[in-house]
Formats: sequence, C-alpha cells, structure tokens
Amino acid sequence: MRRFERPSGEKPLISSARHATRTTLIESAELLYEDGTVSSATCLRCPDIPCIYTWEKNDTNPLDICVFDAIVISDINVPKILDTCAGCGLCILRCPIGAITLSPESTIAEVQPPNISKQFQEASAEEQKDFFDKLTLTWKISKRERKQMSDKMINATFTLGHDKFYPMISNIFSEIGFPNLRNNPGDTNNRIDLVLTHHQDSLPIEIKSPTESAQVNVKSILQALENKIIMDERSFHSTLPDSSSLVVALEYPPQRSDVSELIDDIFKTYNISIGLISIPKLVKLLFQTRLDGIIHKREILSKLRGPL
Amino acid sequence: MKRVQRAAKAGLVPFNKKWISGYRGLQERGIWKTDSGNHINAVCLDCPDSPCSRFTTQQLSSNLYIEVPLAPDPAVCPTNAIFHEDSFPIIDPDICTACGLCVMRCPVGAIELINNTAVLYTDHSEKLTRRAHEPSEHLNIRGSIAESLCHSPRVDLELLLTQIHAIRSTDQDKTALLRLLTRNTFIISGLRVRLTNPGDHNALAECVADHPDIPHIYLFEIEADMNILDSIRRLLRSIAIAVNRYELTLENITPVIVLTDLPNKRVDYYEVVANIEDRLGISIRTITASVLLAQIQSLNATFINRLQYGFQASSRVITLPEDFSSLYTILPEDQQDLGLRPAK
Repeated sequence: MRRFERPSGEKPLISSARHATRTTLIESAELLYEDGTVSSATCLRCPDIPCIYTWEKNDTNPLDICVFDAIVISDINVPKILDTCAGCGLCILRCPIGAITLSPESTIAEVQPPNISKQFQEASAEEQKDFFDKLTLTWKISKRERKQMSDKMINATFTLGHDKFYPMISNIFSEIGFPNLRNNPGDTNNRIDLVLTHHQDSLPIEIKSPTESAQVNVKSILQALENKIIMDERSFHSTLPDSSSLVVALEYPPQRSDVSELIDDIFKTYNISIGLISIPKLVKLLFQTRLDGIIHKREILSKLRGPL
Repeated sequence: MKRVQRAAKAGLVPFNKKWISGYRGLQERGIWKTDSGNHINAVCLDCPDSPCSRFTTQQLSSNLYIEVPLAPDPAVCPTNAIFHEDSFPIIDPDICTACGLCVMRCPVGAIELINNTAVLYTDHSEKLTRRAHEPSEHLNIRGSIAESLCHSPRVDLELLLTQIHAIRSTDQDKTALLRLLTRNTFIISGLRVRLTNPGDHNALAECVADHPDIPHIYLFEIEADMNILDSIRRLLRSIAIAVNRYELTLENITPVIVLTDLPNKRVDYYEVVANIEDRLGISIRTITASVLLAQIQSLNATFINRLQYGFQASSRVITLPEDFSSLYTILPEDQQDLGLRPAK
C-alpha cells in the first residue's frame, strides 16, 4: 500500500482509520487510513476515558488508573498530565490510539492534544464505539525503548507506600487480564490484600509494598498460607483447594534461603502451594499482554509454587 | 529414712501440721518439729544453690531441637524479684507478682504468699543456715524436710484472681514475664523445655517441650502483646519445620499458644484457629497465664494430660477439661476475670 503524508490543513476522516502502529514512545502512533494515507494519532477524547478510569469492576464508579493522581481532565475536556507523573506508563498502555508520549529522559508523560475531525466529534456514541472496536493498535517499539519503559514502571513503584502500591498492583493484574478485588481497610473478616476473582478458582494475593520490605520474607509466606486457609474456609470467593496462594513483592528472595525452604516445607506438610511474583516479572507479563498481544493463562498463577 | 535420722541428729525433724489434715497451699508457711517436740516455723536455710531463685544447669540443659546454642536465663522468678546480696535471698515486694514459683521451689517451705507478694522468712541467728553445717549435712537436712512437705492439689480461686490481677497490672516487661512463667512452670511440672533466646528466628519454635517418657512434642508461641495472629502463623511454620526437618508426624505434635488473657472476640483469633482446624486438621491449643498459675498451685495433677487434651480454644467455644474445671468452683464471671473466656 502506498503511503504519503496528507498536505497540512487537510483532515482525513478519522473514522476511516483502521490501524495504528506505535514504533516509538517519543512520538504518538501512526494512523493508517483506508485510503492509504497516514497521520499522527492525537487524543480522541474517548467517551470512557480509558487513560484515567477503568470501568471493569463497576459501571457507575470507575477506578483510577493513575495511582500518582497525575492525570486529570483539563478545562478543554482533554486529559492532562501533571508533574506528579512518575512515568510508570500505565496510561500509555491504556490509550487505545497511542496518543500519549514519553521521552527517554523524562518521567512525565504527555498527551498529544486533540486534532480530530469534525465528523468524528459529531458522530454518535455508537459510531464512536464502533470505531474503537475496529481500531487495532500495534506496538513495534525497539527493545531498548521497551527496556526503558519497563524500568520506568518498576522504578515508579519503589517509593510507593502501601496505600498507593496496592492499587497499582491491582491495576496491573487487571491489565494483564486477571480481574481482582482489593480488600476494604479495616475489614478483619476479609483482610486478604488482593483476590484474583474467578467463578471457581479465586486466588489470594499477599502484597509486600517496597516501603515494608523489598524482598519476599518469611512473614509474607506465612501470611499467604493463612490467606489460603481463610479463603478456602470462608466462602467469600469460590476457591479450589489445590490452587496457589500468591505473594507479590519487589524482589525474589535469594535462592536456597529460609523462604524457599519454608515454601517446600509448607507444601510437604499442608499440601498448599505458595507462589511468588516479583514486580519485574509482573511488568513483563503486562508488557507481553499489552505490547505482544499474548493472553496469559490462569494456570501460570494458579499452579505456581515458588518464583514465577 | 537414713536422711531423716541424720536430720533428727542435727536437731531437726520435719513436720508439717497441714500434712495431717491435708496439704500446704502457697499461702501457708512450712512447719517443722524439733526432736524435743517443739513446732517451729520454717526459715530460710540459705541454700548454696539457691533453688528459689535459680535453676540448675542440669534442669536447663534441654538439648531439644538445637539450631543455635542457647544461653538460658536460670531465673526462677519471672520478674527477677529475688536478689542475692550478702547472704539470704531478698524478695522485692514491688516487683513480685506472687506467681508462687519460688514458693514451690523452696525445699523447706520458708516462703509463703501474703498480700500479693512472696515473703521469705529468715533467722539471722544463722543456727540453721548452711554456715552452721557441712555442705553435705545441709543437703541432708534440706532433703528430709523436702520429703515431708506436701503441696495442695487444689487451686485456690481467690488467690488465682489476685495473681492474675498482679500480672495484668505489673509494670515489668510482660513478654519476658510470660516467657519465663511458661518455661518455669513446665520445668517444675517435669517437662524438658527449651526456650529460645529473644530474637532467635532460626529456632524450631519459641519454646519446645517434651517429656522423656512420651514420644510427643509441644510447640509453644508465647505472646504477651496482641500480635496473636502472628503467633498462629509462626506456629504453622514451626509445625511445617518439625514435620520436614525432624521427621515428626502431625499426630505427635501439639501446638500451643500461651497468652496473658484470651483475646477479644472482635479479633479474628477464634475464627482463624477454627479455619485451621477445618482446613488442615490441626488443633491449636490456647492457654492463658491463669492456667499456668493454677498449675503452679496444684502440681500434683498431671499437666501432660492437661496439655494433651485440654485448653482448647479450637473453635468458637473454649472448653476446659473435666479434671481442670473440677479444680475450681468456677462462676461464669470468675471465668472472665481469669482470662478463661474471651473478653466481650
């Protein structure tokens, strides 16, 4: 297909765009129209604002994507990124058209301001939805940029206290394709940090925020063991007895440590598997899902024992 | 019999008037009878090994499940209220919580509990102390007196209430108190006990006990603060280690949590213990300081049996074993005060 830049000033019909390709984070994605022309993607003011909210859990009360409170709706009704942004990249991954950019040196992302055709603005909600359904965004960023992006996301979690870290982990699991519920603080009956919900195989997750402990420690393993016992016995969620109980922390413990011995001992004594997920590994899963289109099976978590 | 004769020669024949009608409780000083027929009240013999304040190395030399060497604190008194200055031991009434351990350890009945404190009787004429005798003669006298001192198998409920109150209101380190109270009660009950040094996280459990004749071990977590959910988790770790690294089976392990008082009902303790019983088939026993104090008062009962079958806070209901509850006439409101029922 022949490609050429449209002369400036002339606007293509955006609703005829079917593909967007992202080759770098420095610039927004390249939109390819049905007639073979291309242009740079800009913010479309999506009706459900996926860069700010996730609506998966609740239709009326969406949850915030950004745990740094760095993305808001501006006066002109466009998402705007504030300088509290830590460059974690979650909103970048969520943007369906690839219109949020992040330069290599910066930890503050930027929304490319809208430059959309009148026709799209005036289209009905159904027509707009149809457009988003048909649009595919392909990621083709370099390995180097991918590494930078992953490092920024990992670094962004370093300083988070548990009040911000838990929502971040919750959002990442949702993005990977594992819907989940966080506990209500103060609910002593159901004090599991996070539950990956499922109609029959819900998994409990113990989260260690970096300010608490960087590594998976003995205490978190024991909490994961208790989580599994409580989940199986209290019928808040459906569970399978053979499924794992998970711990998420910044780093894995050293090999042949107390922690790994304890995981073995617990499995041999109680037949309960404790699985460990480090933040870098979790980010890797997220990138595989969003950038490579890999759908991760539940079994990678539900059958996990020891580090992922 | 030889020892009694020798003691008689030395001018002392032990005699305890309570022994005729019953037993001596913690609040009764021992009474001896001299060969001339006089009754005299027991006094401190100033024993060279100070059994009232120190355990012997042998009593502390339990080598159960050693991971790291242990430097056991030989103190009998859980609050270290017994001092040695020039000669006789001195009991500080401000620190003493009247637990009765030193009363039970004194071989001649020279300590009794009066008004919430242990009182040691001394005779500064020193006619009876070790200074007046050869060491072997001292031990003979002491041994013959000890043989005739009988302790009560009954629990004095009123005393127990004042004791538990003293422990609740003490300004001493409660964790250290409960740890020593636990260990020392088990030692005088005939168990081999290993209490880890504080902060020893490599040990099998905070406290391990067994009996030389019974193939069974007791794993203890002792918790004076309110981190009781952590205690449950640590016990699960201890059990997993015991099963895998010491080749014990679940049937031969009794996990016990020792608390000052039973926890408040709002704490998730009872539910978690019940969940563990249902999910893993493991019954975690819970005992309180008052159970330890009752044991000190009534050593004749078999504590092993009590630990094996009793003191279960295993589910929503706390049950006491028959032989234990029969020791008291427990009124419902007393149970609450003793920490045998959860706080509302």
